Amino acid sequence: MLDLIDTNVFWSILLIVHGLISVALLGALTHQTFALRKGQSTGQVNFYNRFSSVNPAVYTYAICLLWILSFVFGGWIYSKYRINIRIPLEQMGFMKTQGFFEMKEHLVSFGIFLLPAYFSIWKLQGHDFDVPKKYLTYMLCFIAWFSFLVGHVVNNVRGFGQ
Amino acid sequence: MSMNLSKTHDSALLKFSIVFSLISPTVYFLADVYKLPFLTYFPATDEIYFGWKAFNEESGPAMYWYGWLLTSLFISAFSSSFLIYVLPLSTKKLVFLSNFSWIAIILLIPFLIQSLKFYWR
Repeated sequence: MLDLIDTNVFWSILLIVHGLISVALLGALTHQTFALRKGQSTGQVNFYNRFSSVNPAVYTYAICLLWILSFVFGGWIYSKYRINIRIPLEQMGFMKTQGFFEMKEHLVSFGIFLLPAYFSIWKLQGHDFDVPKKYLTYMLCFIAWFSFLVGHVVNNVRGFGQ
Repeated sequence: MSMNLSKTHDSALLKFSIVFSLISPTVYFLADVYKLPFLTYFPATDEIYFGWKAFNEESGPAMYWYGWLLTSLFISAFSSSFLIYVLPLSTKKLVFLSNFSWIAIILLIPFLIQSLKFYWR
């Protein structure tokens, strides 16, 4: 594969795929999170109510699959990032950018550790686990948004093509 | 509607997943802080060493993240399996524990920020 296309193009394609999977994950998680908050809405017909008028349970499989796929792609790209992106970032003095990327690294790992509980709890019938279900979803949504924004900023500061 | 976990087919999986989600972030954080990766990867040379190995001129920069994940996976999977085997976990206790899986992460975030103080200069 690397013989056919330029190395930077190859890694940029992987990064774009990673980004697209993350966008899909963000959409699914944000819908699910808003649907969980629907009980607090006023009942008026508006964008917020329409956005949150989904069955949150149907997103669970997709969220788990997308999180794992995004994690695998991110982990794959990370080895190249360590050489081609992180070293120049440090040389250019973008230490806080790098620090936020390290936070992202840790938080997405926490996210993948939460997935088994998230999946098992969402699969259950009944209301015993409503509170952990809600807050696990909020936590995953926060991690996904934080990671997406940090990844986006890091790519803006220095992508594979530079 | 309260559920009886003993009647569910996936009760063992549910118990395991909740205990695993509770333990693994903490183990991951400790593996980071106490330099306990299962392996160290050197991306410049594609070398892999068991355990923690420092950066060196020949191999280039070291990556520990894969190692922290594996350390956490192995220790958490083993300890979770052991704990759900020895501890009687009722639905009430599982609900209580499952709340701590996300609370543990909130509690770990300040320590993570502190562990990355090198970057906040």
